[in-house]
Amino acid sequence: MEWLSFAGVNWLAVVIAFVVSFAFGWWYYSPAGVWNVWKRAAKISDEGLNDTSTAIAFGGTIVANALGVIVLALLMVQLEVTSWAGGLVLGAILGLVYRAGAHAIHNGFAARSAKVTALDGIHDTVALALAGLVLGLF
Amino acid sequence: MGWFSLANVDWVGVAVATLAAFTISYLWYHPRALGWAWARLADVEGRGLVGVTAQRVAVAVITFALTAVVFMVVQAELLIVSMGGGLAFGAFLGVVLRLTWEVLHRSQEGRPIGVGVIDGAHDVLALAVIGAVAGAFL
Repeated sequence: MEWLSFAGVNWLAVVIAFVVSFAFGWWYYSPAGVWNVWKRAAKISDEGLNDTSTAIAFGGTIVANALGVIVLALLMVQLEVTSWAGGLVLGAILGLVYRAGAHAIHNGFAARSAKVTALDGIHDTVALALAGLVLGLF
Repeated sequence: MGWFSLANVDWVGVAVATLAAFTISYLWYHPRALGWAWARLADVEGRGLVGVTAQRVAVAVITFALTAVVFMVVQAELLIVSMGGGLAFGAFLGVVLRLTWEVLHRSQEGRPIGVGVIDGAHDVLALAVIGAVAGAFL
């Protein structure tokens, strides 16, 4: 478990990367982004959204985003990725393989719209790539 | 991109990891395991279980294979070259990059969180096995 070491992690960079990643998600799933397309593709009604626990949805977004950025920062330190381009690529690879890949499998077997898979996969990939870019700048 | 080298990838190990992950998925979502519970929660009326098409299987196999390749590359760099180490590494990434985000996306969609938990727990197990196999072959 030597890889599980946070020595060398720049926590200021982690906070900024988290804010950038979170802000991207906020915009992405807003009406100015893909919200209306995503909502139609996911067949989500306003009633269904009102039933959603705000605490879980909002708090979950913060926790999931923060954990993702921290792990990305940890891996960047361990893999000696020190440039913004390197961070961007590592974040994109993790987002594409681990996150978008999961959407592709689960949504596929749940017979859900491919558009939902694409929209969620793009979000997760770009969010982690942006976080990697910011971490690399520090 | 100094960390990204395919030289350390054992392609037989990738094949074994892919097969192992796919087998676990098959058993996990089998009607005698969590299949029907998942179908009921995901509101797919069993279509996801009986409507397994070649396309969905192909997506799953390709995703597992890409995941195994990334595990091999990263674990080789981080010197995670044992089954136990790979198991822990895979489970860790599964919890952070899959389980949390699965629960998050389902809650945002106003869908039962149980779907996210079943899918996320499956992912933790699948990634742990892929990591273990990668560690064994490195």
